[in-house]
Amino acid sequence: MTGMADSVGTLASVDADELTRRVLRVPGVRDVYRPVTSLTGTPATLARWIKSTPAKPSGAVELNTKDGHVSIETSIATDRDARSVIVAREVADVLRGAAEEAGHTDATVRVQISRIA
Amino acid sequence: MNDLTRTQLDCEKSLDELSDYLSRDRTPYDESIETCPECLNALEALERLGPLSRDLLAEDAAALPPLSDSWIGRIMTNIHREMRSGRSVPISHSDPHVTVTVTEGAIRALIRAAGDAVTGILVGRCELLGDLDTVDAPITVRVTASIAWGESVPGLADEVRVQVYRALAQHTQIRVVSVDVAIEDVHIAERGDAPSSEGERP
Repeated sequence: MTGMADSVGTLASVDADELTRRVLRVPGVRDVYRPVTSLTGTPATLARWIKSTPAKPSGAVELNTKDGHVSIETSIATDRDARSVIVAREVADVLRGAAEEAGHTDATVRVQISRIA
Repeated sequence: MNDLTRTQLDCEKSLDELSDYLSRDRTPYDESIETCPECLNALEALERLGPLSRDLLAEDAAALPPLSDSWIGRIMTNIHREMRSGRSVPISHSDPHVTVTVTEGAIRALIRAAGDAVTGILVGRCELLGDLDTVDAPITVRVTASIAWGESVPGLADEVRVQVYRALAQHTQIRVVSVDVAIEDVHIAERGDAPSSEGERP
């Protein structure tokens, strides 16, 4: 499913678990989920992949590297009392900041709000 | 569309499974449900629907107009359809390396919750009409609902409209040009959530 990736899971200074913890610390974030938007395949394939994923925090933020380019992706639930637009932007900034800390200044970040609860 | 896509969410869970899980008070803990945003959105909607349907069974012999099973069935179908992730609705960000979106399923769940929060209202169907893929495109929201017997249709329809506008403004960048609310059914108010006129014909 992430077959395009050369490597998965770590930057020079942080790993996916640490990124997940950082995302969960952003005010207004209620939960973090594995992203599925970048995956290809049938719903059944996706479902099998979802069922096979480990419990949080492992991999709730997905970190991929291809040809030296880092991409970070995650899906979040926001608090209904918060302002989801602002929360999601802050999550994106946290992830971009982490990539920049590790020297990946051109890393791409995708954040999807999948639940407002 | 095959049977799988008609009867199950993208994660392969069916509403029947989720309903059973709810009826067991979410025990034993099912990680595949509790960590799936689609399932959690659907569970929340089912939780709001559940007490009403149980009350209707208790009130079955009453003379007041019941919410028909078929209408509840349609709500269940709509919940199933609406809780899928659907389109990714963009949220602007100043950094070109960043993409931020909110799923259509999350927005529909938000609209449903906002409508259901109005006392005497039970949302039937939510639709987002327009180009959701483009920031600032005009979007029309259509909501159908059932209203508790004895309540004011114009009053509660207005309240639903206000709550939906408010929720979408708080959580999305959608440019909502109108929220159209159609009251299509009447039901008996839920116990503890009843209007003062419950049991009296208006």
